[in-house]
Amino acid sequence: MSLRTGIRTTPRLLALGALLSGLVLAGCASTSGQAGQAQDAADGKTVALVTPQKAGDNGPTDNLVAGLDRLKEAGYTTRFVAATDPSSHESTLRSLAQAGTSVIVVSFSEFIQPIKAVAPEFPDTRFVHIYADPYKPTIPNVQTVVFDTRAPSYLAGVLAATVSKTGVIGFVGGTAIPPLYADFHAFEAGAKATRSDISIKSAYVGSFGDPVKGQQIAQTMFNNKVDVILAYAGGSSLGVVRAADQAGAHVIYDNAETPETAGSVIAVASQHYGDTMARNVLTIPAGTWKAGEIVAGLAEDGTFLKPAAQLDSVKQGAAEVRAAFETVEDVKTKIINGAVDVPFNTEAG
Amino acid sequence: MGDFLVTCLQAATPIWLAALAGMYAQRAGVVHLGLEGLLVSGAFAATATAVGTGSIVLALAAAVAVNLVLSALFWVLTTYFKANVMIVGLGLSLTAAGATGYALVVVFGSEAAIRSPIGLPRPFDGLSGPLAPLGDLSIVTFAAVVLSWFAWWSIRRTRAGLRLSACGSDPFAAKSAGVPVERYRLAALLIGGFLCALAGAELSLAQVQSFSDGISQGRGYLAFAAVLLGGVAPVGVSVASLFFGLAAALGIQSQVDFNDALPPQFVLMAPYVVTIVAISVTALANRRRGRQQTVIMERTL
Repeated sequence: MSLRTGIRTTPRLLALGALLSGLVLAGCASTSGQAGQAQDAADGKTVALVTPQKAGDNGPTDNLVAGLDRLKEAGYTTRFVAATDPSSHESTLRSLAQAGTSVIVVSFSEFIQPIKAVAPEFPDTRFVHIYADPYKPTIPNVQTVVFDTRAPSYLAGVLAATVSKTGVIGFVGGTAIPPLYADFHAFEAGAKATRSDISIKSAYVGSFGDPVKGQQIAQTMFNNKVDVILAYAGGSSLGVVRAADQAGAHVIYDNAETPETAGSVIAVASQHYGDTMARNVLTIPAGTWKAGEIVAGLAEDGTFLKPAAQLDSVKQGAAEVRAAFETVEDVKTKIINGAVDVPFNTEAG
Repeated sequence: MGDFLVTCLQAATPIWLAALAGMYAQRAGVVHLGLEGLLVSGAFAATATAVGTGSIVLALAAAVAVNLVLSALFWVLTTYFKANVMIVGLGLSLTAAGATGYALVVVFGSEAAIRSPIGLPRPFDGLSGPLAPLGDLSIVTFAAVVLSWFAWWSIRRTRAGLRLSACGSDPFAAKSAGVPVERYRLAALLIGGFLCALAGAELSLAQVQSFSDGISQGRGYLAFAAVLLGGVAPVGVSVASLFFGLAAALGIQSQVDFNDALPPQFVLMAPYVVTIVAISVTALANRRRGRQQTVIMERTL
């Protein structure tokens, strides 16, 4: 009975859907027409940031929005668009380009296809893609920025091996993917170079948004003699911090510090998304902008390992961490001038 | 070893309580795919109230209240509006996931995790000696043991439990015998709402003491699998949930110990593979013994 009515109503629903989408498309067409007329504003200094997440994540998106403020100080008109719906990515980029935006910054891999579709149509608009692998072949008005997270991972290894009392340190990754394997091997190499008898445990949560499992993994590690963990697990890292609070252990954290992370976070290994974005956009008026791949690493201050701002709240070992950072700074200089080679190994580990 | 068992229990508790909720519903003839949603809503209500009031009792009360309302809504939709149980259940799960993410932004102005100043009480905190790891377990884990016993007693040893089972296995016969089937279903769903509220509170307030968007990460669906794996029986469902907890803890332990030898993807996959294998094996064993399928998909009046 219910099956039959279901079949009967479906074509009607489909027709309604078609009608609605038709209306929506017509609406889009008319707005883009208006935007096209405004194209002569293209030589103005306008920058638009488009992210796949809303602001307020206390992470990369907020960091990028903060970078926008720096561009505002440099005289740019700035605009922030959170395009959370993947189907709107291409149309958002197209409308912005048609409205004469001179620089469009997008973040993360969600935008690879939309950029490929839109960028060639607007050769006068510059596109900066933050956190994306380079396009093959290169599109002449697109710059991709990758972050070298292996170097700070190596430094984290140096720090963890210096601070550890048990001689066992841990790595907790978000998902089991090659970039995180590479970070793990860099961490391992940094630790081994500092202390040859160090033992390193690794585990992957399977999600960047599961603090509950992150906590269970860290708890298991702390029960197995680990006393310092490098948490590269995004949202799951908070669980690692909670387990460390319980166990009185130390964490090298990958997100922005909050009052909640006081007590066990000894250092932060992360990326300056916003500053890197602002610096790269400002190369356009300076005339040094180039298309293709840009690597932001330790030397550019794109990625970093720095002592936690709330280090004094750590119950024990704050002084040792500060002392260890002298070694870390040494190694950092060596990495930048090429004396220390950070391995690039994407084997599982 | 003690630490390991504690991790098993911690991983199992939310699944366990949600699975008991699913068991009650399925016994009454309602396939409950809304467990995931109730976990998230319970976790959010508990954490938001804990942040706002600093009281763990109010936090639990809020979680229970929200989940009772949602469970009643589930019942109204499926009973009065004759909506498909599966669709409403899935709808509840998806809506709760979206709504809590939205509420997080509206109430706290940020998508970031909110941190509760308090956690669930730990009755055995501060023990020393071999029993010390028990101190890490929240009161909800101990409640789950008692509630499992209660579930067994209420289903197997009371008249109401027998009637409830009749509502699922043969609603027409139950109705002929004068059992108010719809009311029994409402009762089963409300009990389920209460159990999921506890499960959600355990998820967010027991260890991490914070709520972040999508915190349940499919544990509600795992609970649903535990209901089927446990043969929709109180003891079976509890054992199945504990087994999932064991699989999770083993997964973590083996990652920590053998990650250089075993690809982590295999270990991450293991609990789900084990689930499929276990369900297939029980189904085959039941067929061998000529027993009827225990899974009641949908029987409406």
